[in-house]
Amino acid sequence: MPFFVPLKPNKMKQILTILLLTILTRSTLFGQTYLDSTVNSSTKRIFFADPNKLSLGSYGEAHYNAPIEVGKFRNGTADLHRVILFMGYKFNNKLQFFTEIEFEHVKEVYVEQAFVDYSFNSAFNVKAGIILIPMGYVNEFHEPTLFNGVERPSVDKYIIPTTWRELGIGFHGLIKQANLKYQVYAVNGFSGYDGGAKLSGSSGLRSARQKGAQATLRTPAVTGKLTFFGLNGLRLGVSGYYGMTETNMYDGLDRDDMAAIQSADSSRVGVLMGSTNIQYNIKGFQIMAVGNYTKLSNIDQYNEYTGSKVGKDLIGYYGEISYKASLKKGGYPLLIPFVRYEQYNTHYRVDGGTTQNLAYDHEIITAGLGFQITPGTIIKTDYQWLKTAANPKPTGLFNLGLGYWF
Amino acid sequence: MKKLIHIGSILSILALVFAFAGPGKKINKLVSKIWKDQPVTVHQVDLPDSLGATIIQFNEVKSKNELVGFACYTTAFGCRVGGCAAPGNANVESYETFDYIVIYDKNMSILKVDIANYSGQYGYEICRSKWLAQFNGQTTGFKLNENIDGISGATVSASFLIDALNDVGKTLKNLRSQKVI
Repeated sequence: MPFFVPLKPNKMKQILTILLLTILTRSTLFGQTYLDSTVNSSTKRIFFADPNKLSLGSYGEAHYNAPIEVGKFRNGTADLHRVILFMGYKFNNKLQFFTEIEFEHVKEVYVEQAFVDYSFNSAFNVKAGIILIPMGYVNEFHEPTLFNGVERPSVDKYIIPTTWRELGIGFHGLIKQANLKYQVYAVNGFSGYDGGAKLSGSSGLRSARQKGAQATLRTPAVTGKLTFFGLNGLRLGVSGYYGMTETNMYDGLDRDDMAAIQSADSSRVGVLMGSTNIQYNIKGFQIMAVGNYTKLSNIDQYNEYTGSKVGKDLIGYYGEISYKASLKKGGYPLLIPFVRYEQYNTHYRVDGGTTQNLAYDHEIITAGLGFQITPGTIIKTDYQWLKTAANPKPTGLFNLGLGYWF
Repeated sequence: MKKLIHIGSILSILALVFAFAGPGKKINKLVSKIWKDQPVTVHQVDLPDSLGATIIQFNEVKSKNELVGFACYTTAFGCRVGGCAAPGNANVESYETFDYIVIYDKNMSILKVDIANYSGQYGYEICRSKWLAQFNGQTTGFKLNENIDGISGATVSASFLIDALNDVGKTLKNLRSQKVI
């Protein structure tokens, strides 16, 4: 029990119930269906077997972060950052359900994904539920063995608010002739105002995610991604998002009350986001780059109305190079050194009434090492040099992490 | 929003049109592309149950009653529903599956591998035709990262496809030694 942490009794009860339910479902329905010999002999069985299929899994990360600043005492933090239990259910070869239940920092519970997916064919599939916004790389591929470094890149936290998920519906599929995968979804947007401003100068849109929890929805947002996989070792993605943030101010408003409608209008912001991500693998090396630009409209009125200092344009990008060295010929464990350069600014451009805060202009260099023992277990360590335009003397952060996925 | 609905309906209609192209139709299309200089016909062969083969549809391709090749429609595993952490150690019935067509010449060397249907959310990179072309010219003996390039992000699907192709190749050799084909 490496991750055992004392919990409050009622939370404990919740967890036990979930565990009990999953164990019961699994043992009664699918107790004997484990892969017992080679895949091929199982292949022969599967096509004639009961098509109902359940998949259970989990991933999680424990982190230790120690800030280092010359001439100062700083506290380190040990955190069981997240443990996720996931369940997939294959009703038949066309229809599946998938859900991820997350415990974040031990005590916060979320449903990170919960969707049904119906497949007509390669080119056309329908997905509905709590889905991930296909922006950048890490938001969709956030399991600890799939990205380098203990913490997710800061761009994938403050510019792309990973894990960014909302309720929505849409299509995805492959255009095989062109080696493209497409995704298009209508999702519920950010909540920009609920009596107070939810957008902020320092973390942009991050606190405005609704995560499918009793979300306000008047006008859905649209998001999509195209991924090109036509060249050996290359994956290139382009994503976009457009939508207005939601506000609770319209609710119950008289349609003739122009003054009230005007102030309600001031509590909304238009969000236009574009992102590209590229990965190139060659001879054990991986080169990766992500760039994101976000434009917020109506921000002058929003800032004036709410008294916030949200930037007008936000920018973030990083480049990373890593190498996978096999310690045993052709297999695991792997040693993965990497270096990443990151820059992001939530005040890249500001409206006339806001002064640019240089402390929001960040530059981060991360150098680290991953030790992947099996495909599903990894130990990570890295050192980060963090500085801002306001304080160009870098501070340090040492990180150590343990991640698993099965 | 209106635009989205329009795009959605167009896509749905397209999908419905393509969704019902069955294995036979897809095989015919590929076969006529490969033997484009001669008129060929496809004849379905029922395989003996004793083989326990994974092949869904097995066909002989003939030109003027002379055998010129074989065409198989088969299913293989993709990722586990919801994730692709590690191949092989989860509940096997929870895997996504994908369909592929493999076409052999009369000497049982692969002429073409085509992914006929891939609806999984990960691992779709195996659909790239240049990658699939690596199988051409052989019957079995495929090994990931040896004679077949690995694909970052699609290791699981690639391994399963390789296993499945080796299996179909073996089945074909068995059938020939038993003089079924």
